[in-house]
Amino acid sequence: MHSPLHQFEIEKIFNFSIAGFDLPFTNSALYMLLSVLAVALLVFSSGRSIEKPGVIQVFAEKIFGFIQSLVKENIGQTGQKYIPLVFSLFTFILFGNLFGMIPYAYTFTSQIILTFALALVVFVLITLIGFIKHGFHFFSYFLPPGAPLFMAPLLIVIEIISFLSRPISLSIRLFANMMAGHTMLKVFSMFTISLGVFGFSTIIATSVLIGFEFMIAFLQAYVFSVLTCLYLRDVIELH
Amino acid sequence: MSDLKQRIKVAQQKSNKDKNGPKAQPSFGFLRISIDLVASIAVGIGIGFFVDEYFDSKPIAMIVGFFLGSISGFLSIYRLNQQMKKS
Repeated sequence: MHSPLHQFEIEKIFNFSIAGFDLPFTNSALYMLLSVLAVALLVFSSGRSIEKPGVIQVFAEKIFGFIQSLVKENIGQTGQKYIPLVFSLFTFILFGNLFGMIPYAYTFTSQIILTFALALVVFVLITLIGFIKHGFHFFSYFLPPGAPLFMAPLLIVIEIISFLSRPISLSIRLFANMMAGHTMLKVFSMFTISLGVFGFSTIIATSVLIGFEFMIAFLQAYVFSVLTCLYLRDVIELH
Repeated sequence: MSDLKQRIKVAQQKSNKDKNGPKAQPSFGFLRISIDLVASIAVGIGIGFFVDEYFDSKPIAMIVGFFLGSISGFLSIYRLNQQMKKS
């Protein structure tokens, strides 16, 4: 029997290299590609027909409406232009999490390097938007309004640490939730075999946990996009 | 015609009133608290570690960084709590 962590191993499917760089096509890359294709299917199937929308079209438009209201409520009316960013982040993570729930499939969101890359994109973007919108006035973000000036050295350091901890907390939250959930599922299903006759009790527990995992898969994609919106609002409004 | 224009204006004002100004909404603060605290402390310690490497002052900056990171983590928890109270 494989260990519970065996499911997170990256395997090469075929080798591939561009200009001397070794870029093998792995199982992680395969599921990322599948996820992107699923998002593309959603995007291209939306807005097809008004009289008879298909199942995929209704699903795609529901997700779009959901993201639109999310952005409107968290950023405000000026946040309309960030809908594509939040939509692509949400759907990519959601499909990654949901494809990972298929037996024998690989969950690419359980790799910290991927979630960290996504969080870094958000982090670099909010910093750039802050500088573009406010210029050097953006640095006033690091001093809370109404703070006495003699406290400034301490407060600025604390605020900078809090700003820098955002990509780390974003990436660790998603990665840890997905990895912990899948490891727990595997451990519980291993108990089923080792308990023998009493294995039925863990079968019940595992069924409940699978439902729970589906909830986590949706919730983590939602939390990631909500936090992206909140961080965007912070730099757009600047106190 | 002018009646219609008047009505459009009223409807637009109404919808603007609804949409303008982001309102607080549940952002699942309870899922964020623990990791926000840990990440702030980790960043504080990390900055301290690199400052130590640079100035060759082994444990001092790391300890200071730990305390600053803890303060920053508790501050973010406090802000989250205020935000959750509002919504």
